[in-house]
Amino acid sequence: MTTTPQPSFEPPADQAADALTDSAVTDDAVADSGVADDAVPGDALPGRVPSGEAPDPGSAPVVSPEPLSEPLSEPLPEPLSEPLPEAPEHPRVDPEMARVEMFGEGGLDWQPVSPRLITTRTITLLAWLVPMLIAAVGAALLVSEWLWIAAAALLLLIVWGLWLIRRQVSAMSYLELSEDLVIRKGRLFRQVSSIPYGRLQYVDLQSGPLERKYGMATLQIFTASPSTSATLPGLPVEIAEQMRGRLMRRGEAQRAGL
Amino acid sequence: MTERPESGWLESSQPESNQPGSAEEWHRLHPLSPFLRGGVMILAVGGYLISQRVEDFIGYTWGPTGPEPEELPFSGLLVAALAFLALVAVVVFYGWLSWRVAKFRVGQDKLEYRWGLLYKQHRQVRYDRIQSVDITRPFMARLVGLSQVVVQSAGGSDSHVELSYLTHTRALEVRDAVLSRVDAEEAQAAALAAGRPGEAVGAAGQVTGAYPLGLDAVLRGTVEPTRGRTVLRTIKVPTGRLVLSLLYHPVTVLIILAVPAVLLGSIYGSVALLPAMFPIVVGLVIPHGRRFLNEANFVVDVESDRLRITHGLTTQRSNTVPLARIQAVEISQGWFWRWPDWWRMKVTIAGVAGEDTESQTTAFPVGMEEEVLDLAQVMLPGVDREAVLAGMRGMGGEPGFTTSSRRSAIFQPWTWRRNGYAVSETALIIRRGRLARVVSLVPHARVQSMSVAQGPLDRWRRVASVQLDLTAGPVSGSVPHLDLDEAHRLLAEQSARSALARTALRTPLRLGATRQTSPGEPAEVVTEGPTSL
Repeated sequence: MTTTPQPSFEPPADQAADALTDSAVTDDAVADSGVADDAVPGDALPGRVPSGEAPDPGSAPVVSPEPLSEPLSEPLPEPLSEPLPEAPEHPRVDPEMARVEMFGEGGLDWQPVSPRLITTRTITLLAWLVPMLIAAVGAALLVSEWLWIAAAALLLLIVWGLWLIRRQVSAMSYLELSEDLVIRKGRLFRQVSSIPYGRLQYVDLQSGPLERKYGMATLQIFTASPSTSATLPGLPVEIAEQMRGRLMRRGEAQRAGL
Repeated sequence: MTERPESGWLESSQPESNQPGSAEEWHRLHPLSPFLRGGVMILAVGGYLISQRVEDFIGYTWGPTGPEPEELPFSGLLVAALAFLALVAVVVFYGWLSWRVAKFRVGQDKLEYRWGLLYKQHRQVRYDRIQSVDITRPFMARLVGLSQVVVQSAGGSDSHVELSYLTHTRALEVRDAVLSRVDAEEAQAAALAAGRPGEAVGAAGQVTGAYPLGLDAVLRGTVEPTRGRTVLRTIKVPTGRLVLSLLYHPVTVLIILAVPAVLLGSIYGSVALLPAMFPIVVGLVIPHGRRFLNEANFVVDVESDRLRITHGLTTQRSNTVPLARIQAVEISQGWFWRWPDWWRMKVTIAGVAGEDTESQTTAFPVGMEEEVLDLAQVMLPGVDREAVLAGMRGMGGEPGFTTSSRRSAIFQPWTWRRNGYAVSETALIIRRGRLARVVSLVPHARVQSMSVAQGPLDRWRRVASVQLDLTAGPVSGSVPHLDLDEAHRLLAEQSARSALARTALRTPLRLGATRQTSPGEPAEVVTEGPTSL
């Protein structure tokens, strides 16, 4: 584990201020949004408490369509409680998590991956396809003119690949919230994953020869679920190492049993 | 690696102990174990080979028209007998050696097992990582009154501790000892969680000291054996229903249709049909037979905070699962079961996944609505019965359910009204499918991570699917094609619900251990190369 100069689990000051002033959301806001009030189990802790005094979902009002158009971003006076470790009484929607969107920034501090990832991926792509292109051109010159079609197809593939790499890399971003790491990736098939620090089993940092040359590393996060997809390529090495340390410490602090 | 024994431990007959003078001791398995595990096979095969050799020997000396066995010269028989005796001696000696080195200990905070003659292995599972405890009685072992105890931890079958074999009463004692330790660990964690985490670190040592008694204490009756725990409720699968459920199956219909066709075909038409069909029919029937053997005598005993699932005809298996170890529950009904209205129930338990685990993940093979609902409420206290029922039967429009967006009807014209979720106090209730119906109950606390995914078609319809990631197992936590804003809302709200529920699961730090390993981490396995005995 690497030690980093930032020992605290508090979000950066600007973010915290953001949370206080901009869009603090309280239980009331959650309760306003239809189904959510079933999620607030009275004063009961989650777990083994009989659901006697909790609102009965069976008789709860039907989900009204209105709140959906306003997804929990209304500013409300009551400030958010401190981030963990102290357990809140009710589920409190993390106001920042509520602003996570598929594509938009949502006023959040989305971190892009290094643009150098475009370079390494391009190199990998060309290392595969250029020799094939040369071979195809050679074969077209020597064997048959029909093979120009293959060469043209390969050329198209390269151009498409180059375009795709740019699109993909620019689509990757991540966000460290107080309790979750959020990773967005993919453009055509978009995926937003959120991994609670408390669920972290271990963090892997890998750096192949090409990545190393460009000072990047791939951070991979594992939970107890094999379907968790949390791979973050193209992080500058020092950032990746800091991040690993930070993730480990937060995981340690918020760790929960299986 | 929290502990790695010193290199000398293999030789020492009195291994290291954390507290000198503690009641924990190393115990051996039943002496017959090596033979049940394979020794009998070796003897049988060896005996067969020797008898073959005898005939070769006789045939070589006297030719095919040799004397009758009674006329055999004494020496031939003697050689065969000696060879067999030598084989027996070797097998017995090897069995004795491997029996001698296989030992287990129900220790202070972990269960340990050492075995292996050439490759010494030492496996330990900490009690807080134990997911369930199994007692399996294979047919052969049952004949001689032996049982196998399998302690399952989250790391999958490679990290399970398999104590085979013990006498049945001994097996029960070991199971109860381990389970009472798991309980103690749990109680301790709860006590620590109730106190302030900062002080808990210092207090852990004393709390641990409250449970210094080992297996022997349990055997002497000092510690309340968990077997004495009252069974609150017993739910059985009637044999008749099980048989009917196996008979009432598309395969049966297929066979009923296929057999006469094949017979007619082989009588009047091409003869080759029958032998060709035979393996297919057998292949279809065998899984059913296996399922019958496996699921016969299915009984679920509900104890205060654990389930005991017992089943099996020839091989009996009794699986004890603390309720707190259930990761998720699925209630499903295939389209063929709609008319008799039977439901099947599966559970996800960490570390129990992959091939051949169906028998361990089946919580109830064929149940009626009431039984299944009762069990669901037992497994996940606080889950809303009406909501589960709506999940099983609802066709859309039930209060509390958020279903797929109408805009997604183009992808799922039949099921969009049903596919959706409802929030209950302790779990998310996800329902899917209309013809074959599935309800997944995912406790908020057990969600490992979440994701929202949107493909190009989803984007066109402004919908997205939410996936709740669970530990590997039969239960899936995906909510398909929600309205995009709804998907975001589920992500944010479920994150909050899970975070809150998780705080109850926080395991505090232990005395003297900055926890490098995580609670989900599998048992530790130490394997060493050949050493002198």
